[in-house]
Amino acid sequence: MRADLPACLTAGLEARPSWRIPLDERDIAVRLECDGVTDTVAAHTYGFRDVHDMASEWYGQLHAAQEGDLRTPPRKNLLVEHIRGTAFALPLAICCVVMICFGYSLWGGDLDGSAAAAVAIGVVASFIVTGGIVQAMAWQGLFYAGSGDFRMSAVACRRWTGYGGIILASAAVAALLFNAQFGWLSGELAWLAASFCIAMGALWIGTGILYIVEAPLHVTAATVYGITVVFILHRALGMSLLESQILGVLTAALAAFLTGFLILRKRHTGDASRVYPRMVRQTIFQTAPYLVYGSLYYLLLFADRIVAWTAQTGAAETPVVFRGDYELPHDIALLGFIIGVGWVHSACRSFYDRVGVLLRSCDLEKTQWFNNRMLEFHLRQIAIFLPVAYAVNAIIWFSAQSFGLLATPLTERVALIALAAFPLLTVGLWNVSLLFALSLPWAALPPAICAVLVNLSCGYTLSRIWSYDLAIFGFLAGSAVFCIASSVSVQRRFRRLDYYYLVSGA
Amino acid sequence: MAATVLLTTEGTYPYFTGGVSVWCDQLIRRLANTRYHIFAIVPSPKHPLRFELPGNIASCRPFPLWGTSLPGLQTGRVASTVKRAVETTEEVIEDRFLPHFRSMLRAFLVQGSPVEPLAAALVGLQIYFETYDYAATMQSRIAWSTFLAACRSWLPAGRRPNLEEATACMRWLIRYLGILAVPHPSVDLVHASMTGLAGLPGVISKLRHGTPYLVTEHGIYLRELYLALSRTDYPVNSRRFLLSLNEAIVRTNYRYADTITSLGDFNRDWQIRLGAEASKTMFVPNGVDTERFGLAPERRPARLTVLTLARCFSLKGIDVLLEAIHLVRQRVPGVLFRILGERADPEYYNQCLSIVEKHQLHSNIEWGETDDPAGALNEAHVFCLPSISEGMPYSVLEAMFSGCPVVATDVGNVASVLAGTGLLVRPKDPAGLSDALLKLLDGPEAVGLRSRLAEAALRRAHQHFTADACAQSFDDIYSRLSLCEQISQPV
Repeated sequence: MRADLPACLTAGLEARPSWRIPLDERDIAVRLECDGVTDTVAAHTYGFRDVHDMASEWYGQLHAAQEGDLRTPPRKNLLVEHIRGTAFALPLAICCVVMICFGYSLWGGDLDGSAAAAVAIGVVASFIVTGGIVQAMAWQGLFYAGSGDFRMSAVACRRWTGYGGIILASAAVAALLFNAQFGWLSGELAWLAASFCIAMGALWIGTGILYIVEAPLHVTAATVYGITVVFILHRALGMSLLESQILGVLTAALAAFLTGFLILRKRHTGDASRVYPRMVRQTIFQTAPYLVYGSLYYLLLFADRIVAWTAQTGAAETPVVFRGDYELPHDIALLGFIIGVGWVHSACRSFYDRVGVLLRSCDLEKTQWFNNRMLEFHLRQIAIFLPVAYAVNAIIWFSAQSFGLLATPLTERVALIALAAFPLLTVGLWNVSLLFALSLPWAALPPAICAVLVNLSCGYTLSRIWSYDLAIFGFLAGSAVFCIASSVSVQRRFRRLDYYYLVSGA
Repeated sequence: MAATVLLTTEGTYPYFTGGVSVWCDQLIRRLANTRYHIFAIVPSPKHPLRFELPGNIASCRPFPLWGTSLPGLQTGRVASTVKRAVETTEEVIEDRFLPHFRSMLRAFLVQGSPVEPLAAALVGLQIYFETYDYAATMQSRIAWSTFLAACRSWLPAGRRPNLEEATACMRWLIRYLGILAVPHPSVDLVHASMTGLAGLPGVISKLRHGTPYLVTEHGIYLRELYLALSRTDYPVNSRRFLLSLNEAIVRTNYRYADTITSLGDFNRDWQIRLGAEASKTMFVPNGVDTERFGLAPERRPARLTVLTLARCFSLKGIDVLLEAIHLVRQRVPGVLFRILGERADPEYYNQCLSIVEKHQLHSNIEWGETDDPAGALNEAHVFCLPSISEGMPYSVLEAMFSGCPVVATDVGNVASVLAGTGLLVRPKDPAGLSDALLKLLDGPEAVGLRSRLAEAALRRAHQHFTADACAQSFDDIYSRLSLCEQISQPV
């Protein structure tokens, strides 16, 4: 008997996975019609007046039938997510390791004091100048990619690359003019700094595109490729280290651009989507917080170095003195930060997973229950992360000591404080990621501004009164402020997370 | 003076191909003295124009529901957007927005609510959004709290969404209602090419300015929504919300439309069942451009060819056709099936490919797209449409004009179009479909039957389904409604 029934009714009776509870009698009627049950068939084959009469009869039997399995989004493996997050920081780790092993890397190395200062200025400037560009490009590129519009994602990357090029060139010209007026660096060193700023800036924008296409290993490949070019030019062909490095960085940047755009092109091949016109004012308005935050973040990361490099310069040729003994422990501490960045990635994923689970189990009467659970989740994540991060940093500290990398009390002090600061910075980074996930980029600015101001003022005061290496306390204080202020900001939003979550996806 | 018409579409003309788009294009080109403003609701801003716009289109405004960073209309004028957002204070929202919003939510959540309060709320909301910012209002805390309170108050316990479903529902609402923030030009008549969201400008213009409002339904909006919802993975309460929201909007469309045209009895019965007044409904069948589609028997190839012109997605029943081909091929091994149309659903297309692989049908099938359906029909011996849902498919009409006998499923208005001049089968029935195809492909009777059906279909098509006749019918309706307007007042 059942075999003769239309497929839609059989599906309901047998509660097949494809079965969906009918919303009303008309719903059943439509399904019957799609199974070929016309009024005539309903009358002659099944003995009803018409399809709607048949639907009405069957709705009574089927409306409470078991729903077929609904696909719930698969939960991602957090370890894999952690590794993915870390993978984006892998190139930095490779550079650090190569530097420690060979004395130079894609940039930096055993350079004479003034050249090292020029390179350092160029590298730090590249981070600060392009940090905002990369953030804004990532936001727009990921927004389009998230809506399946890969053509516009590619267009956004292309446009931001153009804006980045203009801003980098303008910053370099402005810095050269400034230097010509005030004579901080010699002409040659100023050009060196500008060249590194442009080359490194290009590399950051290129790796930003690889971030948008989620290709962390390609970032690593581009970095390794750049390092190889430096080795070939410097060791095999005898070119000067600085020239080799500029060419190596430019090559790596080119590789990153080509790979990124090729991947984007592959994704939108055959897609006839429209390319939207440039709306410069609207774009600036929408991306302003990302632009500002990106630069603030790198200022926070490097402010203490700038403070240290400019403190107690005494009889030096330039007002900026590169401090290798300040830099090395900072780089060592950076290794712990790389692991922390992986946690940020996986913690963001577990935020989404947790939100999904709690939202599904929350009645409308219990929205505050949902918010409270997520408040607890946020604090719990931090409470778990900080001890683990400090334990990892302790291992790094003892390892560095056993390898004799922390040879002087100064390097020991800087490493200790930097290792204390980076986990706090990581927590701040996670908080900002959460604010971005909730489409609240403006909320990320006050903590970042406060942190930069505290970093600069604290580091400046201590380094000018006592010793340049005390600038590291500015970094610690800035990171602590960033951690606390951003946590407060997140907690404030999480108290009404149901609302902010709604708006973030609307 | 030429009449000015606001023609509203959703997911069709001029950004997508398909039957409704062809109808729009034909109508606009044939009524060259009518000036059209097009308001096209599209899923996202990425869709390029798929039709060349004729000179009598005065303006064309796409409205993307999704894919923009903010809901509502994106003007690109930052200063005015900021000014409006600043003026949209919590007090303003509470005093001027919430009363209409609550009234609208009640109509959406309480099934069978009268449509008049909803219509009044829609008008109130549109007036509000003329002054205040859409995104700032709809994304305000107070709007969200009101939505949650409305769900708690007006939905029975078992049908109340959980917080995840409520979030999804409110997000839909935020995106859909953006239509209310779009200003429209002053026109003589609003013509909606379907009910649902595309009908809202017509309802509001009718109420605010007394503008005549004409609805043309090719399919049945709500019926297609039922179908779509039965295939989604949305939780049941989210599906209920979408249905209830759209049902309220469709009923409002029917209530305020002056005339509702449909393509045949099947659609009209559904319209009346869904609340349309029978006296407002009338038939205007689709029509085909007779200069493009005609007989060319000399182009028929030696190899027996069956043509299907359809976009490849589940409602077109291509999977059923492939199963039928497997059966047909056992009797007619050399037959070629050409399946031409955009691959609208890649997942479904892959599913079809797996059927081809399973039965090793490669040598009997040609996939592709065509810009020349007339040529493709002239090169086919039989036309087959295996859909599980249709309004009045253009491809069947075009086959009739091309002298290509039709085998189609008995869905929508297909039976009334063919009226015995083609073979009808039940949908989702591969055996039935293969039997019908074999009648026209195999055996001594096949050639004669093809010829008889083609001649009868051609005669019928010329009598009832020309594009000129279709356009003339709408011209008459425009004239009649415009005359009525001269003596009517805003409702």
